[in-house]
Amino acid sequence: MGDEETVSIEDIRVIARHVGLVVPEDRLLALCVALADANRAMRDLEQLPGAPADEACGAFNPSWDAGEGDR
Amino acid sequence: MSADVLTIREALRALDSGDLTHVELMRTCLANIDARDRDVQAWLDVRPTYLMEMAAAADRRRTFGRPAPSLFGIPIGVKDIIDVVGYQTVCNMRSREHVPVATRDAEVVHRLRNDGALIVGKTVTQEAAAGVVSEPCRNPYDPERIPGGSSGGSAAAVATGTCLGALGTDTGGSIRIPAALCGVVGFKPTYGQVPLEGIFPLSPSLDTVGPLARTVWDATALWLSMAGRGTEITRLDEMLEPAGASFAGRRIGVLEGFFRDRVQPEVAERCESVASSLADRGAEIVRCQWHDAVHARTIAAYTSLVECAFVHRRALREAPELMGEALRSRVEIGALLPADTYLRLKGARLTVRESAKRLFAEHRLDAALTPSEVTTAPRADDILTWDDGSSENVSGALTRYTQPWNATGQPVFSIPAGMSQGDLPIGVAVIGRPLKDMELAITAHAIEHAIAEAP
Repeated sequence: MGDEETVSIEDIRVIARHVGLVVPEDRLLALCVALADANRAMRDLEQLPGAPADEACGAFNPSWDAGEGDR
Repeated sequence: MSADVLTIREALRALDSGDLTHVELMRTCLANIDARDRDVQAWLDVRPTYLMEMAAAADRRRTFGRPAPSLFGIPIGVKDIIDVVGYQTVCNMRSREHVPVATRDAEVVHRLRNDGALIVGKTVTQEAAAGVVSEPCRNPYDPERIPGGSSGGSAAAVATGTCLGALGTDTGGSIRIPAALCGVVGFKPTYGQVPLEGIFPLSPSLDTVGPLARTVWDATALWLSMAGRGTEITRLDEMLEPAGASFAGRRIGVLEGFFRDRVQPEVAERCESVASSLADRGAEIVRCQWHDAVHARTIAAYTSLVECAFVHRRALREAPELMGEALRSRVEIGALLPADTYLRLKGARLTVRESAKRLFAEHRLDAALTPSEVTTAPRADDILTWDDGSSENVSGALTRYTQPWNATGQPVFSIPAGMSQGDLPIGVAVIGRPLKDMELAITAHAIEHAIAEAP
């Protein structure tokens, strides 16, 4: 799938098999659309000013630094 | 004294002075449940005999003359993804219908009880807290419409006077959305500042627990207790400024662009009239845009999908037929997204968090103001159409203004700001700087008064 914006039913079958998921046939098409949307969203995120380089990904720690509070 | 429409602050005073007994207060809540909950369906499990015994015990304790804890005898509802001893935590999930009752309170419930609160029961949530409908709960202002979600039962319970405050959780707007749609105050504290132990997860890097109540004072009191600062409640009158306070020297950012896009006109107008009231009281209104809001929303939405899929991965493999369609779709999509996507989301989240900090710093904002929601309460299956020709389902529409602040983790109040022409509540959101929750509560309290006193 990668950065492709088009996702085929076969793509979904391959990924699902890879993650150990059985996806009923009648759900495949909706998932194709959803994953294509996700790919488009990720491509849009690359437009984010100052978007971190790949090596910086994973740096986010959701907790806040100590000592910044208003207590 | 009638307890029918008391706030927590009023009830505490009346109980302390002896003008109201705990039995009278609890009887009123239970009478309101009897009268209104058949239509609204905010509550799952209420045990009247036990509650009246607890209230009577509280009255007896008053006679001992010992100082009462800061929330002594205040009836509170708890969203049914939060553990309460002796109750199941079903999360509106078929797969959890037979889970054993909780043997420990969630940490926030434990803290509220330590401060004297009485737990009335569990309130309705969306399946796994993943959505905005909260079936079967209905909007108290119009039963054809949704209360919002996923803390819909908690918001509706407060709005109908069946408890004085309630607990909710907020991963993409689940406190603020129902607060706005049901006409109550909702507070999403800064991410990570209130413990999540004993709360069923939806998306752990976004999940936040917080209060819903009738006023900012009440919500702040509950938040202080939940944050382990319950002893500060007795000083809350000093900490929050009195009615009529000036806004001189305060800079309030009115966010435009993303936060004025595709919004019901009378909701946007109400937000503008609140800004005018603040300007009349001396606030410096700073019109600005946060250009990364759209990205922040994307980040929160997809992060939530991946983490939700991780939480429910076993259920998806073993018993997907027990999941509702909305949850199942969410989990399937999240399970199929690659690790690469999740890592990109994490990196991008750092960027938007910094950009939101810059927005507040560059404009020297004390707080930012937006409409809480793009619309008043819709029907569950409404498709909202906008002037630009686009359309959205209710889930997409109702999370649009709320999700960006989950990505940044900032504290946000939703405050009632009046009613629409169709007699449905409208809310405004007041956004603060990270970790400045009390500073935000002070500003939100002052804005609440400005709204109430506006001509």
